Amino acid sequence: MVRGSRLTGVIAAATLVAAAVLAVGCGSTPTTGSSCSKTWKVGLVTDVGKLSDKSFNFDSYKGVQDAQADSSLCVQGRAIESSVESDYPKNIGQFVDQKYDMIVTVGFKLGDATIKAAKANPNIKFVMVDYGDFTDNPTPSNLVGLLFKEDQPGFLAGALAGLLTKSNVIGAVAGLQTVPPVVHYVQGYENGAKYTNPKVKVLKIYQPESGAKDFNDPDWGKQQATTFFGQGADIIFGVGGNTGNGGLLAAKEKGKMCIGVDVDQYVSYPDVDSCLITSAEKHLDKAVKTAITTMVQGSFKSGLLTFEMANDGVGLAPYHDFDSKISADVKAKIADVQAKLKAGSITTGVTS
Amino acid sequence: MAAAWRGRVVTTVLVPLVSVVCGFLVGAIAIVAAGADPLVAYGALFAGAFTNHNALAETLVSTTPYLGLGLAVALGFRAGLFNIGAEGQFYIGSLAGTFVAYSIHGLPPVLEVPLGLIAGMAGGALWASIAGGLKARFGAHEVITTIMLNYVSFLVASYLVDTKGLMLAPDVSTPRTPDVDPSAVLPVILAGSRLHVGFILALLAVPVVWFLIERTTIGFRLRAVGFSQGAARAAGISVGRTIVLTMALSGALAGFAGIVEVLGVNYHMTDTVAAGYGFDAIAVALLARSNPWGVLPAAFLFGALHNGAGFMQLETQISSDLISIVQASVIIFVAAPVIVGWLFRLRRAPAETVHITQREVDAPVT
Repeated sequence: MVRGSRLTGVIAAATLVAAAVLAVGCGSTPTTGSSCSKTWKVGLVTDVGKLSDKSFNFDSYKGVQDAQADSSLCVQGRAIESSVESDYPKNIGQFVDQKYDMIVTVGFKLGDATIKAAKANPNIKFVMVDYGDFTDNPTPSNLVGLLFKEDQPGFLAGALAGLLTKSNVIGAVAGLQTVPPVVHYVQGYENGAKYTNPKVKVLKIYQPESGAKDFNDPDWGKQQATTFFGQGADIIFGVGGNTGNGGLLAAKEKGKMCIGVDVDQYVSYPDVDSCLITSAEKHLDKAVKTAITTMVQGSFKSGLLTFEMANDGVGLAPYHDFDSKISADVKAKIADVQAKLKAGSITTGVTS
Repeated sequence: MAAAWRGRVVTTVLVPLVSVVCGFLVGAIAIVAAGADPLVAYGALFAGAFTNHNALAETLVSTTPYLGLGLAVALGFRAGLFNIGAEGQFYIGSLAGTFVAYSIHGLPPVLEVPLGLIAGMAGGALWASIAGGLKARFGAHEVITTIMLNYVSFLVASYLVDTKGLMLAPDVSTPRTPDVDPSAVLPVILAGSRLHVGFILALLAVPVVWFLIERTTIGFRLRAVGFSQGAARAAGISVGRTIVLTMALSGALAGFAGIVEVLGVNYHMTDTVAAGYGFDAIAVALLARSNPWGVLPAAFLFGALHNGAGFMQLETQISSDLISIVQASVIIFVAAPVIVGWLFRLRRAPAETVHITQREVDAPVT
């Protein structure tokens, strides 16, 4: 009896191993539309934030998926998530081994690995999302960095806040001041608010260096926002991952208004939907799809691809729950500011 | 005698093996729930871990940190110490070793590599001794102190490596330390891959740790404290000193794993160098039933899972996190042999009995 059951267990194990071995031979094959003479294979490697971050990784991969859904591009997209630093070169290598045409890497943490892989594989195109610092490395001819002008959506969000504030005091709870995009957002926000409302007072605070809690200290963010409310603020712009999210949460709990960052936080952070008037967005998905399109259409250029109002690479997210509460007059003014930023007839005043 | 031997086979070989199979079955359910074919997924996992270009070499690269860390946790277990701080000791060891390895220049590799390794092991050992000392002196439970020290070590690493940190490399766009001196790098042993000498060193650590536990006075004291502190004390063993020493040895192994990862794979240190290896290592040690030789297959399994997950995701688009489900299920089955016994109607494994051989009794005890 005992012996027999043990045998069953061993047989079960052996069957599983055998099945696994057999399955190796029948890996899935990409499906291609009949109109495609060539299928462009695009692989994306995340940083340790993984695809479920509802932010950079998620939106960048959405760009790959959008390209795949666009039948005129003939793209097949896949992603691999990384869990430790040593995964970066390895996961890039997986796509290299499978002879992918383009490899997209998300975030500056993959910078070293991407540049190295680009130099070693000149026939593969490499795209680095949100990375534009090639100053120390001559850019390989197969590498492009996607860069965003964060001051513009910051300016637009500030313009909206300037129009909607009743107390004429608004706040921004931000991540580290040493990270340039954070400063661009905040300065744009301040200038935008003053553009539409010269009387507005902008309270702003950057998170001090906190090691592992950099961009990841919602409690601190919540405290700062609460302090700003005590000083009369009625709108909070949260700029800095979970630190900023803490500010948004405080606004929601105190019945104030809030503005999200980077992606449409109505989707990425539903807890604060009831206070979210909009989000200052980088259109990562659009940027990634644009980079893929340049490859397919043969217009790929190395260096930097800059995304701004003019090419719809940045902007404001929909008003969602506030759509009915924001007057047509305010909406028209925001559309006007957006058009002027796009045309270049006004600038954000943010230089660095 | 034969029955006892069979009991040992059941507990040390069959239960872990069945647990692994059960873990994969639970994982298969999750794969189906995720909308994919488990056979295709596991096929890709297998290919990504073993048969693809460089896959086996990469699996051995992934196995290397699990070997050192698994041994670290297993060694602690043998003294009855639950070292949850291997992750933190890995970080501190990496930091110390990296600092030495990028600071020294001009020495031949035969000196620089050992210097880096020793610094890494010393860092891990000192860090773990804090928890050991707190336990020996004040009775503070090592589970609590090592968990807390983990957070401290992550923050220390971030502080030193991130923006404006003391160990931050100048002129790089990503937050990391400078690269280690070329002479401190562990050479690659398989051309065209990342497989490095560190793997051989980690392999050699297995018999060394086994010998230490089973054939030395220190090992005897360590096990005696693990069996019964009261009895050990009555036999004249300094329990406190043994605890501190065990934690130091455990930390040295974790620090060894850390610095080997730096000198062999990354060549610099960032704040995402481990991201969970030290916690997975607890699972490795459990699966190995705290036996150094058992750490060998257990670490290999975890290395293969970690390495194969990427290709599995490429082929099937199932999140590589699914591997965590397999790992966790394996551990649940290992930790609860009753479940396995019930599932497969195994005869209940006899309780581990303490065999003290004549030689051990004769061993000098101070």
